[in-house]
Amino acid sequence: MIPATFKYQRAHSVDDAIAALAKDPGAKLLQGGHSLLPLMKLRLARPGLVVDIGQLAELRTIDVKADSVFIGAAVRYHEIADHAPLAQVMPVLKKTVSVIADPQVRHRGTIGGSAAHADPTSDLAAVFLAADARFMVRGPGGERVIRAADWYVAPLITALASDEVLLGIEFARPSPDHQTYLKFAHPASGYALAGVAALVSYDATLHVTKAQIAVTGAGVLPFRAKPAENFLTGERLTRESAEQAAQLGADAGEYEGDVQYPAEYRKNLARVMIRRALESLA
Amino acid sequence: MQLKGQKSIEASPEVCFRLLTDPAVLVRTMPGLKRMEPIGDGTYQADMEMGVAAIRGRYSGTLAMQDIVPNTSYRMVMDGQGPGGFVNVNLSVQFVPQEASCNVVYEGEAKVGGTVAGVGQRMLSGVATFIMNQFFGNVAKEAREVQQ
Repeated sequence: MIPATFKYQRAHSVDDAIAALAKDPGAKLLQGGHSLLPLMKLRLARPGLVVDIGQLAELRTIDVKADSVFIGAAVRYHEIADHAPLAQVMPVLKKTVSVIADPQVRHRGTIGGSAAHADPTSDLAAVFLAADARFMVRGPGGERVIRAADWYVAPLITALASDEVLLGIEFARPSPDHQTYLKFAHPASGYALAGVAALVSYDATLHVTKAQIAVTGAGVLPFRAKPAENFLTGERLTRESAEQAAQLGADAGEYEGDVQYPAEYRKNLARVMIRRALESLA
Repeated sequence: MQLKGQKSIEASPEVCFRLLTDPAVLVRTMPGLKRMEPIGDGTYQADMEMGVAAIRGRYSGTLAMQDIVPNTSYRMVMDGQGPGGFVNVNLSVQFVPQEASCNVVYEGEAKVGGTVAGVGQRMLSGVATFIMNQFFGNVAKEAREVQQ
């Protein structure tokens, strides 16, 4: 488990990192190292140059503003969990990062690293999609914003260009009142076999005024369960409506089976987890 | 892993067939295919750099076109070995004429083994679909260019 030879460079600024990427198209950015380094040790990834951006102060801010929340790309999971103002305005973030992997990973892994790695079973992917996150990126040509709906292109592939750096992730405020993330973890790896982020607002009679639901792990890619949202809006949130929404939501995904878990199993799991997530919010 | 799909390309079956059997076009259009050297019998020595983002490996092996029925169909057989494992692809490709275009229908199987498959099995089909879409997107562009 020893990686192939590579050069290591610590970037002194984001622009420094962009310059390094421009010089070596095969270079990879490193943050917490809990996705890239295992791949390098398995020799599945063999970048000639690793550019460390995990220490950059400009990527490590959490900014809770009146109309938005910004989380720098190099903010670690445990820092999100421990940030009280953030937990107040977007509780789903704390819920999610608290069930990612194990304490070691949560103390090293970063929100931006997870987003850029784009593992289709990433817990945060469901939150990014459900909450309409905006990905702020900078490249040689300047800065741009990528919407969550456009971010996940294929497994491990995002809309981030190879010469761009993810600066951070922004969420609009206010986000719906009731939020949860619920996952059915793979018994060995802890990865989400199905993880559901549900953000719901409802009135005094439990009639849903807003529903934002996304599923990670179960499908080929994380996906937004739009049909479930459309169905729920205006409905009363009950066990029955949750079940119907879950069915519609699961239908929105595209599933592929593997040796252990056939596609039908994954789809059913998506349905069950959407229902449970919704029920927990009522 | 099963590979199955189709793509409509705005060109005659003859043009599509010519493009999809021309090594120079394949090297231009197939993501990661670096080199194809003929070694006879419709077989080529091939170098590929396959993968996505972090997981990317160099594979070398052979690519053969068999059972060729001009302008109608052929079978593409690929065997590759790389640091992360092996890839075997056996794909039947058919060219079905449409009114003003050609439907390229492919069906077959890909076997991936080694560390890549162990770690990445759950992502393989998603990645394969992505690469196929890129490939056909590039072929469609070539078809537009040769007809201009």
